[in-house]
Amino acid sequence: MEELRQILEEIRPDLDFDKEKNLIDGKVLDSFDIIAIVSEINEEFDLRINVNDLLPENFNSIENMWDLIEKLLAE
Amino acid sequence: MKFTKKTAYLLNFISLAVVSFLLFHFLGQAVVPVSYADYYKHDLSQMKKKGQTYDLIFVGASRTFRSFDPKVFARETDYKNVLNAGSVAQTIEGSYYLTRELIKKQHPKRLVVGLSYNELFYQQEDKSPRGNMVLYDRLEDPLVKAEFVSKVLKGNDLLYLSNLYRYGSSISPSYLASTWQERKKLAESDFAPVEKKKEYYDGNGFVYSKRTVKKGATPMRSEGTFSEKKVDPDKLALLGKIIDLCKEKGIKVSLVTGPTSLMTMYNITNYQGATDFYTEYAKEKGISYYNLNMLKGRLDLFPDDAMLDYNHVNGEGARRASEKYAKVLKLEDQGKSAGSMFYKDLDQVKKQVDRVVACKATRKFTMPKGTDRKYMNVNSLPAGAQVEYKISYKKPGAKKYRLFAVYSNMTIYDVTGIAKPGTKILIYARIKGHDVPREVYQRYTVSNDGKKLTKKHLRLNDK
Amino acid sequence: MSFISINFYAFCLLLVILYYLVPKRMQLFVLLVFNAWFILASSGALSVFMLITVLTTYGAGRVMNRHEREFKEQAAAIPDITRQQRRELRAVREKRNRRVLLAAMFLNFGIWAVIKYTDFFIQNVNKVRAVMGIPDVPYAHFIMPLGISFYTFAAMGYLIDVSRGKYPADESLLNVAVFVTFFPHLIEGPFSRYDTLGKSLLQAHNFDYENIACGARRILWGLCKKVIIADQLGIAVDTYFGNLKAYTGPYACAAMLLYAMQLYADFSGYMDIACGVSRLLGVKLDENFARPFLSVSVEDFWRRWHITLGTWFRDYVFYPVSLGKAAQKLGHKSRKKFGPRMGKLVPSYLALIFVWVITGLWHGAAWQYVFWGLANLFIIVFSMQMKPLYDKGKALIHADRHPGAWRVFMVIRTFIIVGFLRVMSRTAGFRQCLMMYKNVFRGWEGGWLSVGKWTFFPKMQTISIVTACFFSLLLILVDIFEESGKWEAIKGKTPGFVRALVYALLLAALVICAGETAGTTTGFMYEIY
Repeated sequence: MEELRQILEEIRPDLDFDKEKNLIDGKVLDSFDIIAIVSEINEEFDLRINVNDLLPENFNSIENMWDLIEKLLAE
Repeated sequence: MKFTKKTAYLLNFISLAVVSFLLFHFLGQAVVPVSYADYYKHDLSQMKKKGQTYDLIFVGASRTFRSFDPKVFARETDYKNVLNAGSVAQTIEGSYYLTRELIKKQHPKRLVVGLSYNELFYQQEDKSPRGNMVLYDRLEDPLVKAEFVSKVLKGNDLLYLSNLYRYGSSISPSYLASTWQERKKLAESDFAPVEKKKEYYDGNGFVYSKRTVKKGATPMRSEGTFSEKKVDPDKLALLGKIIDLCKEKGIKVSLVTGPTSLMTMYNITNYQGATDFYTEYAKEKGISYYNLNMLKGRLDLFPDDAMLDYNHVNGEGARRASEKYAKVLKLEDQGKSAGSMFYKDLDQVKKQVDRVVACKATRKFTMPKGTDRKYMNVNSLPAGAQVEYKISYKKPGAKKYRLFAVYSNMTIYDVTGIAKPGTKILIYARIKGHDVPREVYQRYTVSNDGKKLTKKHLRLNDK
Repeated sequence: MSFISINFYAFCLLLVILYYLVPKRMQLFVLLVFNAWFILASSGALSVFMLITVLTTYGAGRVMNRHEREFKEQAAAIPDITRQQRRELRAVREKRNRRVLLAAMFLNFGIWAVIKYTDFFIQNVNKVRAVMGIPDVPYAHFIMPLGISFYTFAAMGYLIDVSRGKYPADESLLNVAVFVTFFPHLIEGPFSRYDTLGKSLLQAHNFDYENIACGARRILWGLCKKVIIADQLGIAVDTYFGNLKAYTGPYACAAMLLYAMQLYADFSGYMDIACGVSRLLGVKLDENFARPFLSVSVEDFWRRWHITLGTWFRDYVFYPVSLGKAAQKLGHKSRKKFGPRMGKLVPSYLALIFVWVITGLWHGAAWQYVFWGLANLFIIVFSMQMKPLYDKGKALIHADRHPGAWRVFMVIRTFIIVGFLRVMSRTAGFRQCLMMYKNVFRGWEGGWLSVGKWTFFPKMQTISIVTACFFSLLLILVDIFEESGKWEAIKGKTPGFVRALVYALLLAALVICAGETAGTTTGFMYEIY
């Protein structure tokens, strides 16, 4: 989880990821942020996040993102 | 009251249908202008009231309803009740259904069908159904109307049955007010002809026009060509059906072509072909065909002041045409031929003309379709008269025409130097030394790729 | 079959009747027959291309399903399979899927590209040849089969989704065929997705009065937009754009304004008819418009105008390209050189260039469309980069104290920018486009008052001007109400009789204006024939 937090804070240092729960639906993150986050996650965790996974429920909060990562790691 | 969903929807639908029907009906009625159809139908009902019927009937397009005056025929022939059932842009389909209806109700002794050179051509795609709708207004039998509509209106044209669709483009407060007033006046005056107007309904289907073409300025419209290949066999068959229908009932049939301007005839390629075609056809059917344009002395019969425009005679021209044609019908009824009243062919007509002045462009440019010699002024002029030409031009963006070549009798000019795309070139022609200098001109525009001269305007100037 | 023809509505009526009469399992078959009828009537022999697309899409889908099955079997066959082994098997499946997908895409996009862009290609080749003095290559003049730009993208989107494992491919040829050939989305879209349109389309539908009523209302509204607003304003717009030199100053502005309205009414009107017809069958077509002229920025605009185009390009071009290896490598390099912020943006910007060039080209096969696409991109990127400065300026004038006024300002600003951009796609070429831009800034000597009352609407009849303006204002009002969410409530409150009257008036206006555009001059009664 820590590595994820680091990634997020590097891309959007202005946000507090413990508090934010509506990153996508609330339009807090834009598409460029998502691209950057996804590419960092792919690299860091050696994953291939599918375009299909680019759903609000997977990225609305840091917990959602971590769930997605764990799910993909388990495959 | 609580409705089920189904009832609610059905009620909504019904109320929509009712409101729409009422709206379309009343607004539709308000936009229908007073037309000659109102007068025509009034005349028919008056005849019915009197217990009489028409014994001579004309059908055809505008060159029929403007060319044949029933009063003249009633006076000069044995036909006492004459109906001119021609209407604007009447098609052969329209004539067929009109004939069917009229011979049933009127029991005429003779039917005359007016035909132009292109009457039976294949229908162009973009031809408006409005002419058919004008005829539709005049039909009375609902079954005939329905059958007619099913034959001539397809797809979106069916919307023409709605008055809103047909007349909607004119809607404005002034239009609605004036339409309402005209309708009121019509009823109050009991359909009397309004002779103050430039043209008016003069009874029994005939429209009298007081307009004339400006002296020496018969405007030229697009040229055409007659060819048998262009004749639609289905339309020819309809003409045959009209003839057969009459024959069955013992009604005599004549075919006629109404008068047009001499210039039109010159500019229609193979005009003689059309005349021959109808003559042959009439012979096969055992009936007569006459082209009133071939009448002997036509130059004097239909000069400019007898013409309404390039293609129709006005009231005066109609009187003359009717007098001549009445003679023709009298001869026919006596079993004689009226051939002696006519020239044999167009060449004979042309021989009556002493001098034709024409203009031609240089070889460098492609001329408009058809021949490259267009006759501009057709007149009787003294023999030996010499023609002179003058050229002016106006470059695109310029305000005035500039002289390129003064009057001289040179017949070939090289205008490539002045002919930029969009340039207008004016070619004047006149007869040298003529008492009353008559000048014609033909105006060409150079096309955008600089390769073609397209004809834009043609006028005859009489100073 | 045009959406504004009696023949089309007779066709729809027949379809709706049969659709609800036949047993539910025959419904799709009926749809397929009517789709085929529609396509054959419009494209004739060219329908063969659609057949190719349907068959290859179906076939490729089946093959990918087979790969999935084989993957599962192989994975199950290995006891205690490790993550690494799973990954390897998955990679093999991916590779096989990719081959099939690429083959299908190459074929189908290839057909589309060849038909649409050959002449564009030849035009450029000829320019080069002219310079070299070689004679021109003749143009091909390929005719486009109806809907090829829409059904190709819908079909390929479906295949890409299958290859990504979003859902398994449909094993029924009937289903795939009906989805691809569904006639409402052929003329002007939307870009349909299998998981939205497909889901709605491929289930059985019961007759429901609500569907008929809503569908009919929507069709009527769409027809009104198209016939009363778009086609009538088109007369004036064509006059303006047909004679660019003459119209300057206020007229040039009028031209842009009227064109924007015409385009919106035309396009969204078609969409309303397509959605309405689908609704009659109980099918939900994806929405393409969400009150675009109330958008607050160009970026927002593209989320409200031609929505399905935007989402298709986002999901199938932007994301794959920006997350692809090439973009990522470039991103890393730029991070090293220009810092983390640029590093984050470069892959996205690169992908965006792709998106907008293809979007531009999709709209038309000419360089000005490419330029138009890139112009849109430039403005979006520019506003993103300028955002910090912009926010400072906003704070300076205390814009947050007047959110309403600020919103109005943003809406108007966006409308003007979009209007200017759109001119690029209407004029015949760059030169004409620049002339139009120049014209906006000159010819103002007389001011607005010098313009005659109706001369803003050249060649239009009085009734046309009145109805077009009235309905345009009505459309704007309805949009504003819809945006604020109050529209449904307003509709609900009006009594049935009033609504019937309103619909009857709409119908009457529709018929009047349809006749208007069909005919030419008044005074026919005495026209000499």
